[in-house]
Amino acid sequence: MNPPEPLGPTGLRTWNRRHRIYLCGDHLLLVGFDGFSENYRRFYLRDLQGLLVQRTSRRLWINLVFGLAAALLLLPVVIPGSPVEVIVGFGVIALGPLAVVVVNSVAGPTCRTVLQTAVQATDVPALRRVGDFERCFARIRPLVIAAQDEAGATVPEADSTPPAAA
Amino acid sequence: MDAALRCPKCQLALVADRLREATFVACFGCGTPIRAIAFPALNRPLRDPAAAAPAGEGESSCFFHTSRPAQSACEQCGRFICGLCEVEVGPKKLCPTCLTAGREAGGFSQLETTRARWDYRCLLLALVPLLFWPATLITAPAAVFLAFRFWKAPGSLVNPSRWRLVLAVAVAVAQLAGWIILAIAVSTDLFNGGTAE
Ligand SMILES: [Zn+2]
Ligand SMILES: [Zn+2]
Ligand SMILES: [Zn+2]
Repeated sequence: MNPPEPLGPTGLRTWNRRHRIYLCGDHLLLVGFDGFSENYRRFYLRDLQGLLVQRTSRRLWINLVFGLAAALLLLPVVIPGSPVEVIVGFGVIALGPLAVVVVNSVAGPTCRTVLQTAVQATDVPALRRVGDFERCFARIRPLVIAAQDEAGATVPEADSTPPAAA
Repeated sequence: MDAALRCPKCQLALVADRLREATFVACFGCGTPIRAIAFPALNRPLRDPAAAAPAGEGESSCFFHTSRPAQSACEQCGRFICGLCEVEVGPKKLCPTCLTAGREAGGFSQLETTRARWDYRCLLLALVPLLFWPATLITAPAAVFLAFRFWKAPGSLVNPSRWRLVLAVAVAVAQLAGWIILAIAVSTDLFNGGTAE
């Protein structure tokens, strides 16, 4: 079997876990890592009914929090009469939160990705930026269609017409 | 049609169409911008292995269900199995017996849901006690022991590199060397002190 191919960014964090999504031949592998153990969830391409992407305001909140922190740190810089060392010191410290704002803005809009099968709808915490989702989707889409065409050959098609699948 | 994609926020069934697939469209239920991408499997009935007709006369039947027709042979033991008994493990189709046996032997990485990362654990054990260095007298040998104990244990399913184990051993051995040097220094000091009188 092919080695697992990462489909998303490395090390996306929720509060106690890092998440990453991989493509392993005929299935997607969701890997969560808590610092001590890895746990795995598998979703077979032929079973995927759909993908749902929900816009979130995470990017906005990150920018607000870190922007505010940077603004507070830059206060001594704008107060007239501050000593040079204070201006330089706080200015340098403020670069940290400012960098977060820049990186967060450049990384694109945030989202929540949900993967639906006939029996479950599962969050994919490894895909939380629209751009990351887009790249992952572009990669797996032809594979999913191919896997389901193959599976469909042995199963009679339902009477309803498939939705915009092409 | 009862199969539908559901809004992740309000669970309302969404109408899948080209527009939703390409762009974010506000959900009718909650107004959240949603992209809903449907795959052909959405409109396909669940495969129902029980729907097959009972085995006719002279037909091969399932090893486990004599009343049901054989659909395939287990790729490990060769027993005939029906659609109910067939379990796909990666590229293989197995019978329930071989599946249980293989799972107990840990032979199917395809079925694993968790793996201990001993490389991370050993590295933590080698590094964290440095914050309170006397503890390394106990943790350093423990880190070395664990590193060798689990050297052959399968690492990450997706990234089976062992560099963290190597680093953990290096750090722990350095700590042990430090203790040995300290012990030699102290004992020669005591020895010299004892003979000086
Ligand atoms: Zn909704
Ligand atoms: Zn078997
Ligand atoms: Zn059977």
